[in-house]
Amino acid sequence: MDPTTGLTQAESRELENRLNKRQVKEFMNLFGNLVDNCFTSCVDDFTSKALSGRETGCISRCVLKSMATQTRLSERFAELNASMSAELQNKPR
Amino acid sequence: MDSEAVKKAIIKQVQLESNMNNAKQLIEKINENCFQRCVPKPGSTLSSSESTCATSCMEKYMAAWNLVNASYVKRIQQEVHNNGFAT
Repeated sequence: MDPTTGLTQAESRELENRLNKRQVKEFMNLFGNLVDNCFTSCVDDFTSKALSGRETGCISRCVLKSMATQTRLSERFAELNASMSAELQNKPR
Repeated sequence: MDSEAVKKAIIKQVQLESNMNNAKQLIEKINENCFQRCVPKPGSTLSSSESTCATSCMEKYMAAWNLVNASYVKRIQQEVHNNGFAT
């Protein structure tokens, strides 16, 4: 029995498995939404079956921009979180 | 090794299930998207132009999916290469 979490080893393993599965699902959701967004923004013409050069370039750039945005957003979120918890620690005097 | 074989079987099963989930999600998105784009006014039958549009839409969506996959993997690899380890 782990004193810090109160879980047995089997339970910890099970928890870890479930968290992993959820993370994978979350990632697949993100991926699906990414494709959806980039497709909607970049592809307008359905008269041909193949992606044109313009659409291909657009989608590649869309992916890179989305990834950069996500990175920046998580950085900012972490910064905010850190400043909020620092505030909370300073409050009770 | 028996346990090795069991492990491999489990990994294969999980991969199969996750691939099926991928495919299911992909098809749902395609349906939603292509119907919205190609069938502006619902009628009683699918006209030939709507049908062609839907076919092209699906082909394009899958090509886009592959492209996003490739770009994403390339970017991640670049990131790993730059940092020297997986973040």
